[in-house]
Order: sequence, then C-alpha cells, then structure tokens
Amino acid sequence: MTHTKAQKGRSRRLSPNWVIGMALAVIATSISAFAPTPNSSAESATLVPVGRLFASNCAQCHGTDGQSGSISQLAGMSATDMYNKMKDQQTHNSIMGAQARGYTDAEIKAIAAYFASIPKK
Amino acid sequence: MSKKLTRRQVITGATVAVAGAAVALPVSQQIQNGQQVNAAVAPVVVVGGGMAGATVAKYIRYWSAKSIPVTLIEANVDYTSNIMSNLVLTGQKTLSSLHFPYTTLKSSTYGVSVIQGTVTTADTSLRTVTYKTPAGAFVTIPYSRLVVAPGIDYLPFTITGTTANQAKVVSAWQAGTETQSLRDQLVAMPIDGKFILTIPAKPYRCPPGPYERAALVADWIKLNKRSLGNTNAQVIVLDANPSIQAEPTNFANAFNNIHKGVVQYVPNATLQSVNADTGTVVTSAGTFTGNVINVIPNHTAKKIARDLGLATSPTAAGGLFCPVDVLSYESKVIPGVHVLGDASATTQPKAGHIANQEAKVCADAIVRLMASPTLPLDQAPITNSACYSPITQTTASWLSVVFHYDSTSKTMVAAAGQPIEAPSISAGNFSQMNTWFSVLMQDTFK
Repeated sequence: MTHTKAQKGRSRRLSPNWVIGMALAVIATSISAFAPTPNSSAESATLVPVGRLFASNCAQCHGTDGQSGSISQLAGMSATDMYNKMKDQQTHNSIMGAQARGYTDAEIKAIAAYFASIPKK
Repeated sequence: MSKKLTRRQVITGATVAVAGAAVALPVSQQIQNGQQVNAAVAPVVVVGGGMAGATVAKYIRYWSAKSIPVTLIEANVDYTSNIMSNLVLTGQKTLSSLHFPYTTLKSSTYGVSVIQGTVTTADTSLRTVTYKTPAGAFVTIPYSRLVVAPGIDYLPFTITGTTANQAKVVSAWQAGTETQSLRDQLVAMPIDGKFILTIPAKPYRCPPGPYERAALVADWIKLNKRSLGNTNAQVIVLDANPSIQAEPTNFANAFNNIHKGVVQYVPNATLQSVNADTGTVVTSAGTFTGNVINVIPNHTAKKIARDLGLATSPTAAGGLFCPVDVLSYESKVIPGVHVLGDASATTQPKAGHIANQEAKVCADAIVRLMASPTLPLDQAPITNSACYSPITQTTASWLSVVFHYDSTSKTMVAAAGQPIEAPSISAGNFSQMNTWFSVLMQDTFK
C-alpha cells in the first residue's frame, strides 16, 4: 500500500495492484450473481451504497429512490424480478424499452440490487 | 477511529486490463461505518435554483444524510418550468401551474439554506461568493465547494423598430412573462396571420423544443385560425441548423404530414436581422414576413459563469460554455468549482432531464470529495435523458438516450443506436408525458 501526504491516521490509499485484484474478484462474483446488498444497521451508515448512482437514473420517472407509484414503484422490488423485467423491457418499443437498452447486464444487476435494498415507503 | 479498508471495498468502475481486454466495472465503493464529515465546514454553495441547481442541492443533502451543509442562491422567488411551457401557448396550461417553490428543499427533510439573491462575484482562491439581495445589499459568504448552475443568456441579434414593437419579439425560451406575451400575441393574431419561429444554431437548450413549439402552434392554428373560413394562417420555421436537431422522423412527419400545408420549414436559415415594425425577418435563406415573430437567439452561458472565468469553450455561433470533468462536473479551469446544466460544455444535450442527472453525478462526487478521508470518484457514471414532445394538442412523441463515460475520450458517449425516438405519435404518449413531468419535478424539487 502506498502513502501520500494528504492521508491522516492509519487510512491508506489503495494501490493499483490491490484495486486490480479486487476488480477481478468482483468480475468473477458479479457475472453470475448480484452485487452485495447492504442490509444491516451497521452497513446503513455506508457512505456510497453500491448501485445508488446508477439507480438514480430511474428517479425522473419512478420517483426518488424508486418510491413513486405513478409508473411503477421500484423500491423494495426483488432483484430477480427487476432484472427479469428490465431484460424483457429491452425487447419493447416503448420509452422504457429504449431506456433499458442503454444498460449492460452488470449495470442492471447493480441497479436491481440497490432497489431491492430499499424498503418501499 | 479510522477503519481499515476491507475486502468488500472496490473502486467504482475501475477500468482494468484483463488479458489485453479492457473491462469497465460498474460497482460503487462501500465504506464500513461511514465517514464523518466535519459539520463546521463551510457550505457547498449552489448558484442557481433550476433543474440542475435544485437537484444537486437536494441530493447532496440526501446522500450525505444531511451532514454536508448546502446553501442555494437563486434570483427568483421560485422556479418556473420551461418543460411543458409550450402548452401555455395553446392555453392548455397556465404559467402559475408551472411554478415550483423551494419549500421542500428548505424544510427539515433536506434543510437546504435557500437565499434569494443574485450572485455577482466569487473569489475562488479565498473560496468566497458574493450575492446581491433583493434590497440591494451585498453579502459575502464562504464556500467549501461552489456549484455554478445558472443557465443561459442569449447572444445579441440585430433588431430595429419602435420600443413597443421590439418588446413583442420575445423568445419565450425562459418561461415567464414572455411565454404569456407570446400566448396573447397568438390569440390576437389575425385568422390569416403568420407565426415566424427562428431556431438558434446548436448548441441550444432543449433540442426538440423549438420543433415541438412549431408543431403545437400549427395544431392550435388549425383549430383556432384556419378553421374560421380562411386557410392562410401558417407557421414559418427558420432553422439556423442544416436539419431537424432531434426526433428527425417524428418532426418531419409532423411538418410534412400531420400539419401538412400549415408549416413551412426552412433549414440553413441563419438569422441576420429583424424589423419589428414590419414583421420582417432576414435570414441567409431568404426574407420572411409575419405577424407574430418569435426569435430564439443563439445561446451562451449565463453571465456569472463567464464573469467567473469558467466559460472557455466557444461555439461556432459565438457562444461560450464551461468545460468540465464529467466524472464530477468540476470545472477544467478553476478547481473547487463545478458547473452543471445548460451552462456547461459537454457532449450531452442541454435539457432539464439531463441537468437533473448531471446534478446527481455531481452530488455523488461532492459527497466523495468531502468525505474524510476523500473517496475516489465513481469512474463509470451513467446519465440519461428522456423527453416527451407534444406534436398536437392531444398527441406526443418522445426521445430517449443513455450516456456512458468513455475513459479514452473522457466524455459521455451515447449508447449504441441512441438517441431513440418514439416509433409512433400517440395520445398514450401525451398522457405519459404528464406523468413524466410530474415525477421529474418531484425528483428535482421534493
């Protein structure tokens, strides 16, 4: 691990080799499974949850955090259901189909995992 | 107090060479037990409370669990939506229905400090910003980061005529009193009158917007002027661009078929001068005379962005916009200052929906930059635009585009085959448009 002037205490910058190692581990796990979802109170203080920024692309039609029921509510939807719905949408000529076609499978999985982790309001 | 990084931590979107092939990893970083942000820091100050400014203020608060203070400075007491404002021209919406207050942003839900004022200057070394209050006082406040989202100004164009007649040549491209003026002028137009709309050279705010206005007004003219026994009333579209800039198939269909004979579309028509007394518009593609003249001038970034030295990217039409790093929307010219929305120079269109999404990428970046220790930026942001356009008073089309970050060009690139336009123009789309607008504004202001 390398240190830089800006660091304080015992926190460390990630070295490129560490990053690559973790990246390979993530490719291996997320190709066949969904990204890990934070669901414990200790993890609720997580600063930047997995998939949150991707999922924010859905908010303009589905509401902040997918809470709006006007189109369909995404918060709390099972990750498998969302993944399947998005894959199906990709075959449609609707605006949702057009949007869905803009995302890769890995991105859809990350989005699905995030919405699955939020309780419906 | 600091925690060791765990095996679960991965860097967002790190591009990795794996056996010669580059792989983008779209996963975000998790930090166990969060990072404490010093609550005594100066606020993030947001200049401009439009689609980008309101969204970035909300999301910085939301995504930092209200630990980062945010101050939003806006000249108007509330926001008037440009989106859907063309429906004021047909009498289908009122201007007051397009007002969006800052009530929820100010409330304890988000706790944004919203100040009514006009930013006049900033000292980007000392990190202070100065604004003028409605009463005329100047106030200087510190900032930890500055987000400039002020929108656009128009470049000047040549216009002659009496003051009163010149005042009638409105743009109505910033919703407000000009929109009402244009509506009133259309209502008062003679039944055989001509409505002239000039479209600016790209880039301009809302690529489909001017074509939408032409189509909608054409439909309104059919019902309210041409129906009255005289079919001479017309919409004349003088487009500085060589062709229709958005939804080319749908708008060509609108002009050539749906509103056949009502719309005259003239491309490559660079505006040269307007005589407001005679209603004459001189362009590089000919001279045209009309009763109601609607000039949408060429755009440039709002003055404050230019005054601060942020707008260094010129356009062919003579405008200046602000180049930014699209991973964070931080200015390429002045560190610590971000530029969002229409004032920025990126490969993305200028539009409210996409300004809302740019703001979220920026909010995410600011939360990471202000964490202690700093978190790396998300290396694979995605932005999207989805936009409905009325084609008649009861039917609409849409466009959709999703952008990904390309690490080679360091720009946002549209996904393959995009943008996509609606395969049909329908009443169903018109109904969905109302829902989309309602939820978009909720996501931005509530």
